[in-house]
Amino acid sequence: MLSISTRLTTGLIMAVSLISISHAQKLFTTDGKEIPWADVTLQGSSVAWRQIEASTGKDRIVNIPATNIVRLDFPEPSDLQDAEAAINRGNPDTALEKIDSVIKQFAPFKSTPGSYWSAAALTKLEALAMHGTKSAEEYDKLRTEIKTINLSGPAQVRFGGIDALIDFAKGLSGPAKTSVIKLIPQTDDASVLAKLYILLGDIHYKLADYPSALEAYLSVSVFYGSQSDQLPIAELGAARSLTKMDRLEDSRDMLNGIKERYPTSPQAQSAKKELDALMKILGAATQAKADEAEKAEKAATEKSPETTK
Amino acid sequence: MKIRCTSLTCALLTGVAGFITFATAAPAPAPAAKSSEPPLAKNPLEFADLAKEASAAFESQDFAVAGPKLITLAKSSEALGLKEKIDEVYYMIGIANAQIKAWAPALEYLRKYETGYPTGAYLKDVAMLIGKVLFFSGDFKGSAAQFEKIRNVPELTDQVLPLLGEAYEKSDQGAEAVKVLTDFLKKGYGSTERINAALRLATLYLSVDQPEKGIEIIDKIKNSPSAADFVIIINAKAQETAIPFVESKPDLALVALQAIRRKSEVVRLQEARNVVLTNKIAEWTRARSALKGPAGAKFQPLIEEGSARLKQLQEMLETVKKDEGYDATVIYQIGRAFTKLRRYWEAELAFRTIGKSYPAFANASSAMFGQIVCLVELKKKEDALKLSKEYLKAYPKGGEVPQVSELAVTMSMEVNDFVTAKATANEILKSQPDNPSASKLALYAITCDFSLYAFKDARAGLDEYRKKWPNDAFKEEVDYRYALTFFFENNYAETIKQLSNYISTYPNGAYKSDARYRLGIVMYGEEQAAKTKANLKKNPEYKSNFRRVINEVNDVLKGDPNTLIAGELYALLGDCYDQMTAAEVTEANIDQDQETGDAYMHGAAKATNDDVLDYCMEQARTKLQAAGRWKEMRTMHEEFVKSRPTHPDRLKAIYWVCKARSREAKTLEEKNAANEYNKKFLSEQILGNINRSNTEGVEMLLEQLAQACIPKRKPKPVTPAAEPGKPAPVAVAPAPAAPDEDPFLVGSKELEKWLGGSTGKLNGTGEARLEYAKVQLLKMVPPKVDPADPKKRIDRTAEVDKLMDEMAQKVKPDDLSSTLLAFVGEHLRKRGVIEKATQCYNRLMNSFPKSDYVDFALVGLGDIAFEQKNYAEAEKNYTKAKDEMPGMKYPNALMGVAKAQFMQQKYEEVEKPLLEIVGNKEWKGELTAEALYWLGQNAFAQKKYPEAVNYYQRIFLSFGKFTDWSIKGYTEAAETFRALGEPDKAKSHLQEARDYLKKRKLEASPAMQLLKDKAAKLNISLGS
Repeated sequence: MLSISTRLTTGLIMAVSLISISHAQKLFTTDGKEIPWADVTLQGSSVAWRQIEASTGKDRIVNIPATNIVRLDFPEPSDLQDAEAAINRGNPDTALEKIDSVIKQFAPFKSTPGSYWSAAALTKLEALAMHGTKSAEEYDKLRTEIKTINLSGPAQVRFGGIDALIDFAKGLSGPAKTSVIKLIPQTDDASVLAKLYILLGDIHYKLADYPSALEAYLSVSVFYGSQSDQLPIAELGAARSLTKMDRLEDSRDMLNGIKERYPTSPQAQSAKKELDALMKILGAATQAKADEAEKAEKAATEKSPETTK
Repeated sequence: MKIRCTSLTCALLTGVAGFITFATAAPAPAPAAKSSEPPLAKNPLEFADLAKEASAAFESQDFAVAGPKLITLAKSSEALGLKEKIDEVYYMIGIANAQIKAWAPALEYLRKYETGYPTGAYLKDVAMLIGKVLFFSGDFKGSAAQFEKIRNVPELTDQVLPLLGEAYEKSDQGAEAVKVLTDFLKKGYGSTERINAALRLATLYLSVDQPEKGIEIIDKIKNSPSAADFVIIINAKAQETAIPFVESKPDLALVALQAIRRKSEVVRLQEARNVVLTNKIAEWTRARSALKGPAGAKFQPLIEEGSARLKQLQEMLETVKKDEGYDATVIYQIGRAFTKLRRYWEAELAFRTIGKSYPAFANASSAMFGQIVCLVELKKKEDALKLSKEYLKAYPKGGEVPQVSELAVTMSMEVNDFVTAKATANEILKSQPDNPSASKLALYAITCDFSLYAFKDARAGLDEYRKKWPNDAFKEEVDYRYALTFFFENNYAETIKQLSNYISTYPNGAYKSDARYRLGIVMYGEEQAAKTKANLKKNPEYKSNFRRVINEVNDVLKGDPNTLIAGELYALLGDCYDQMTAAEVTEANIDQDQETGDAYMHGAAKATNDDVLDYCMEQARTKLQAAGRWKEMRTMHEEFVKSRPTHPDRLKAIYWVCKARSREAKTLEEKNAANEYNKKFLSEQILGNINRSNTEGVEMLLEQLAQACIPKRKPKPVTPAAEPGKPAPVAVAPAPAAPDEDPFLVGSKELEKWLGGSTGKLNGTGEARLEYAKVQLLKMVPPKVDPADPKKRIDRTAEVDKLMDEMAQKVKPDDLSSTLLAFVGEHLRKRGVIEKATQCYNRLMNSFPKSDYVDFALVGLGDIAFEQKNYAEAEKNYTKAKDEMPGMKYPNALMGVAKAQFMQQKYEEVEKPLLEIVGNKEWKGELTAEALYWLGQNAFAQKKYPEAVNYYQRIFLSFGKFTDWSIKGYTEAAETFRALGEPDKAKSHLQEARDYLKKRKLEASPAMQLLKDKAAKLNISLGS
């Protein structure tokens, strides 16, 4: 059991209220200078630092090569957050609209600690991958660019997951499955894992291995429920797998749950349609079952109880 | 005198407010600083000097000096009547004194400003500062009242609301605090301050017993980027919130539990945040050193508070790191919540994960029990049983042993595992003698004894039962079962005694008819024994007396016409008639076959269990077929179809109905009529099932229909006999089909017509089945006439392959029945369409796990893995097919296992399955040739060359008709001879192979190329 007391966490919440680890929005140079982001202009592979001459009070510009910037301290750009959210909602076009400004902003600092370039580039890559082969050329170009930098562990896994997504879109289900299965143990990032499990579910589903698909989809609900956007997607996949497994009543319950739990999601609309179709089949099956039961009951009442061996 | 409120000062105001907030957040408020006020200014000059000093001290942030000087300045201004800009002085007094925690003077002068200057420029800031001073001086009620006054001031509201909430909270006005924080969070959770407020609000909701609202908040903030600083706290808060409500409010608890991240992720994220905070503290420390004096000193509280916070976070992190059961606890609770919500699929996965990944978890046994419950609810009884057994083995003293035991008993019985069922039942009876279900469990154990043929044990159990529960509701059943133990031991004397005893004790007993039936069987056994003893070969005149059994059985049927064992009784009658000797038949004056067949037919009609039904149907079919009683045969099956509409053998019965009807027909007209009728009847039956992929047996009827649709051969012209005196009539032939009309096309049209192929009534499954019927038709129709040479016939293999290609391309695996999945999957695999073949096989295995065709899937998947050089996976699939699902593909599974083992160099294991193939005469053919080839390969790999040669030679000697294998036999034998150092023999074998191919005019075949390649490899000239 977790042994952190209520008192301690409450105390910490109070304490947190007093300090915000706000980002300074600064660039740190190799020689220890701290440059406010507001005072710089990006110029190709260097930054132009606007300073006020103490003696004259006039502006002067100092050019610093981007390679001399060792660290950035910058809050996560809201456009990046919005683009991520759009992807999670299955809307790559919105993500693409948002993300280019972030990629441009951090372009000179691709590998600099604190830079959001790789996160933004991966977001864009994922959005392009969601387009399938439609944006293949742009995808390939960006992919090559990303490959030139050192990605962190979770980012590398995400990169691999996007590759698997593209493989899957190209119809290479076998290699995609192998990749995803290898990637899953390499990260603990819930947002990456939730997507990987959904992709794995989709691959198994495509290969008509519905029990494995179900297991993959359910993993999201059970282990990565913190990823709210992914839950309706995973549950719809699970419901479809159950239908394919002829677990029609279970599928019905799952679809009803999607409607109730995520009423405004696109998956709720799909669930409603699939539920209508399912109920037709279930209605017929239930009637047949009832007829059979009635017949059996009738037969039983006509006969006296006996024991046979 | 004018004191300028410079931009520096104004900026400082905000800083001071924040500074006060920060500084007073230390655990124990420091005592108010002692101020030593300088003497009052006596004149304007002194006043000006004092103002200058106070202003300088204030601007340089030396508040300890500024505070008292400013108070003196205010007092002097009153004394001297110099009141210009005194409002600003009051405000500065408030700031400076608050900074040094001199709450009383700060408050006094701020109040003076508030009351004296209601339209003053700093009124809002003063009001805010009053609230903060009250708050940090511990007057939370006063503070709340003050903040209330300014909560709606637009530029202050975001600052005021969190403080107001906290003030209410600290003055025990939780409900008010909730209102205020809710108000504050209306604009969202997009900042650290807001996330912090949200967490406090969630805590408040819990304290006022509104967990649903608290959980709602946790759910909203869990993925907010601003929540990154709080990940470990959110986890802890979510867990603290969820666990008490898993039972009572599982839906809410689940939401909170789902917000919790796994341990490794939390540790990783929190460590990263701690690094950020550490960097911040270092930054503040550098700033403190860089800025001399009070300006630098303002960073000290930040450093202290930051360090305190870092320490707390590190402690939390360490606690999480040390908690071995962190993830398991969460997953276990998630499993419980899902179970309570009846979402058993998710719950099962959660509990299974505990068993698999956290076996040492404190609640692992409860998790396993939870999983068992889920499996039962999901109707996965075999899995539930298996796990129950594991539970009892792993946790013999577990808290759920009684429930698991009873489940294990009943489920074991359901899957015919009576050994476990009995052992489990006895274990419970032993360990829990007062169990309320003890008598029931004892009866279970006795039932198991019957099923295990342990009749002595059963008798002992029944004796024990009689002692313990002498007069309970099961007394009659116990007595009857006791008698039956002798029956099943073939102790006829005791059986007669005990059953007679039962009948006399319970003259109207529930088992009376059954007892008499058993006695009938004893009598039948006696007659059989006597007949055997009489030896009919030596004594053909021997007259049996089965009629005494027949009379007894008939008497039972007469007295109890609705008995549930009528099927058994008629089956016994059939057996008796069947076993009568000729002398008894003559004396009885009966038609033995007729009576026997009739009895079995009655038995089939009355049977209430499938064993009796199958027995009677099979026996009746044999008798009726032998006697040519096709009408009765048809009627019996028609009755079956009618009375058992959901029986799995229903379609098989339809097959027999049609077959019988065809055989009933004698004349051509009758045959044609029967054929037409069958087409109609079959199509009706097929159409009722054709769209349902899970109905087995439809394909059998489709084949029958396809056969019925083959155009019949044109009868020879019939010339009626000439009537005397009249000219001979002209020969009349039926209207012939167009001479070039392909019977397949004619039959296809018929199939389309009967199955409504173009009417839109068929779904994907139906369409696929129609295609299948056409393929079967194509396989059955005679070869095509060669248009170039009408005497020649063209083999239809290529046509069949083409049609199969079209079908396989068109159909969707999800639409296919088990038969079609096997059929299509195999075709696709052979054609190299691997992904779709895999889809077919996976669906076959998963959707039709009990189908007779499952081994097609396993062997097919094995073949795919083998072709992809994944030999371990291939072996796994082949082995499963061989050991767990032996069926039509059993020989292929054997071959697959051997090949996969060979490729993994498991040479010792390869021979056994191959020898099983070679030794089975029923499989003799190409598969045997292949097995010999691999036996040769296996021997060669182990350098057992003479043995290898022997196997290779057997291929072309015994299976010469299989060209490819024969050539492989020759070439491999040649290579082996080369290894043996006998090049002449190597050469002679290759030349013999050359002659073999020449003789068959196969010089241009791939086999010849193989031969040439081998010759080149061995550097042997084939000659001409």
